[in-house]
Amino acid sequence: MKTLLGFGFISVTTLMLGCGSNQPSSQLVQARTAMQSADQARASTYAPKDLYEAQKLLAKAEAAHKDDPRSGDETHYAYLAHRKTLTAVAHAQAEQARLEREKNQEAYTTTLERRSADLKEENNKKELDLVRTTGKLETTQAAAQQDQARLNQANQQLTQKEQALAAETQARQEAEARADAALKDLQAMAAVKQDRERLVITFAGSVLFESGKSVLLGTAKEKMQPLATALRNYKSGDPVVIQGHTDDRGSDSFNQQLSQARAESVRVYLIENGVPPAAVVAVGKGESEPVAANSSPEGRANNRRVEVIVPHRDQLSMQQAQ
Amino acid sequence: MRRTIPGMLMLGLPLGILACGASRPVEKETDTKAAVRAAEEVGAEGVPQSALYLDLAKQQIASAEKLMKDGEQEKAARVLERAKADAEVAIAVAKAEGEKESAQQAAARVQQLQDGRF
Repeated sequence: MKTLLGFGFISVTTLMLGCGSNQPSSQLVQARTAMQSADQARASTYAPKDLYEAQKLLAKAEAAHKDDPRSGDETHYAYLAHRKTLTAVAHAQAEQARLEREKNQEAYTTTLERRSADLKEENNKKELDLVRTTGKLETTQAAAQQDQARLNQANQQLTQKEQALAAETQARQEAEARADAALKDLQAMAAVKQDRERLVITFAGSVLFESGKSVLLGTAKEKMQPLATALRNYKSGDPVVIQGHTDDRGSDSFNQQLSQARAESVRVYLIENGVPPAAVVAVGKGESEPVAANSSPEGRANNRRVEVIVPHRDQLSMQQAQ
Repeated sequence: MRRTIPGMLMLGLPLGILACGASRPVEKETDTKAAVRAAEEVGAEGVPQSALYLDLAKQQIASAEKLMKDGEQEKAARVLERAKADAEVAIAVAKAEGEKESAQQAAARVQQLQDGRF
């Protein structure tokens, strides 16, 4: 009985010892755990060679454990298996990171190229817009230049017109001054009567002619000079009429002839001094249009006369201006 | 006796080879030190997890040198093997960190580009 108990004790102790010694070393446990993490890191795909070596080392450790649990071989190979597994995991991670980097670099390049293409297109569009805008600007500038040219021309024309107007005004003023001067001259030697429609200059017969004659006196020519000058450019449709008048002494026919001849002498004188022949007509009125009574010597002297009738006073001034 | 000598020779030769392999820690030391240098070159000291394994490798090299001095060649060889494995982990982890960082930078650049910040 004692023997049996003794055997039992020994057996249990042996079993316990056996159980205890069958436990894997901490290195082996670590190596097994690491191998599981290698699966998660997909080491079989990304680091198959390292994983295979790690598996071989683990197998050696497991075999050593089986042959001689917790022996030096088990811990040694388990240690190596653990480290090789870690190396495999790191290699797998590195490979995956490398692939990820390549993918990102590719994406970067693609995005950059697309962006570059977009920018290029945008740039082209802007350039086109710029060209169009420039074209429009040039057109507008050209139009503006044309407008400016027209404006300059108009200004020039305006200036010319203003100058012409000023010159005309000046000429008119000078002409009026000359006309006034001429009138004054005429008034000094003859009676000048004017209304809105005509100007009548009356020369006394004694001033122009000797009694009963129709040849102009030398002094008469001097006095008529201003009139000739004034009428030099006379172009009106209505001619200047030169009328000869006498008193009632002598026969009617003589007086008629005398008055006609005297009027004619004045006309010839005017034509000789530049007045167009068509602009002057001579008419003899004889004794038919007295301006005073022939009963007194003064009255008769007034009736002996030559009248120069200019249809329009303005016409006279204008002609002088020209 | 005639049969015993060749038999002993046959047994002795592979044993000698094995013993030779296991008892040449000097070569292993060279390999292991090269691995440590490589780890340092890839910047393992700057990556915390790598630095840990690099230190382990260095400590084990020192320990192996002591064992060699004490004549424990076989033990020294095993310690050197483990040191090399540590140095290799340090290299792999440092490289992986570098790759991860590059990948993150590349992703950030893509994001920046897509956000229009470039």
